[in-house]
Amino acid sequence: MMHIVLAAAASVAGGVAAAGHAAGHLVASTASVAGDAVASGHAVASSASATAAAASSSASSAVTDAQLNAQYAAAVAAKEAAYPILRFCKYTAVGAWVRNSAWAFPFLQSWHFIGMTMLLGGVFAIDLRVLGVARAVPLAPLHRFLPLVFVGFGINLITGICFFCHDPWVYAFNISFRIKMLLILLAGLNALWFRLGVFLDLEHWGPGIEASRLAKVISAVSIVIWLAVITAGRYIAFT
Amino acid sequence: MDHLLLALQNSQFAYWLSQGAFPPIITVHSAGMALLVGLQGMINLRVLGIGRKGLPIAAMRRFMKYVWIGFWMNLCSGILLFSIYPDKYVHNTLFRFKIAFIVAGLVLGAVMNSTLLSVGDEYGAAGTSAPARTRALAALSLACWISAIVAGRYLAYSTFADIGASAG
Repeated sequence: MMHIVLAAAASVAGGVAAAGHAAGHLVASTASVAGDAVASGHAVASSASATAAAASSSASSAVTDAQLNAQYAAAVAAKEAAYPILRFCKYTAVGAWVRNSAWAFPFLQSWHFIGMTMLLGGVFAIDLRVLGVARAVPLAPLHRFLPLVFVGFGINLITGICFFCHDPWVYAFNISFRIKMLLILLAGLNALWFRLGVFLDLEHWGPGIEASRLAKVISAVSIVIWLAVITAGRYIAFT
Repeated sequence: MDHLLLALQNSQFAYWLSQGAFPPIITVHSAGMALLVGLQGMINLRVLGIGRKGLPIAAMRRFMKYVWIGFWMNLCSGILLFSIYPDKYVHNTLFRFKIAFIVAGLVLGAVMNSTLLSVGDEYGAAGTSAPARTRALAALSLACWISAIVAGRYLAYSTFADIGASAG
């Protein structure tokens, strides 16, 4: 029974996606049901076979809209029962606001992108200086921008939690989202290594001073990781 | 003009862009934005006084090369994004505002740079403050870039709803 319900839900999601003219918001919510069916290990081999299964069941007995809606509601209830933490996130006030407001997404994304420029503007400025660009800039005072970097990170953490709560299943089982979180963790550890490992003698990093090879490697890695974070973030909508 | 734009919109090229090529193009557009607005923002904030004690304004000019790399990344990727739905963009008020903010940000930034960053020795030392007029230019330019980002985000939701580019 569960198999049929999930297969039907998957075919509903596939049908909506294939229609192509539905709002992206709707595609994201319905696709999460299909994605969750796969992620939770139920016997849905592929969306093609799921659609075929649903088609054969609808051929034998005509399925009404009301029955489909009931099946869909059952599938949603099943996935919520399976993941209480995600269910908690979904029914927070923030989650409800983002789901129900038409302009919450562009509003939050504007802040997410502004936060990104604050975060990466400071990070790139420091990394580029370590790599030898603008060697006339002393490194120590460049770290006056660090509070700005942390404010940018805070803005993106808050807006990111808002995105996550609007439909936790979209993100929790999304490979791009998982890679993005892992990369942000790596970037944080990399920055910590820079601060604790090679950047101990702040006052000696004056104008014209060339950074050590290790510092340059850490900075190059930092730029690569952050560019990968942007890439993974943009691919969340496409995986 | 509209005829030409529609021809572009209905071309195989635009179709290809709207399918597989779309995610990498918006990725380049985002990375370019981080370089362009991120580094330009840092320069503007220094002109406005953040980090004044130790950072020489003139030295910050070196970051302009990377601001321009970001700009060219976004001009090229932006033209490709425009090619997908030229007819929609050209009649979209948000798009016109976004372009106006970008042009204003570039012009204000160039004026700011010419009056300040290129003067050399005068602002070569740390601890110097920019004159009030230049600080006003920096604040205005920063406001333009932030407005361009906001216009761009709202623009995505007014034109891309039908290709499913929503979450993330």
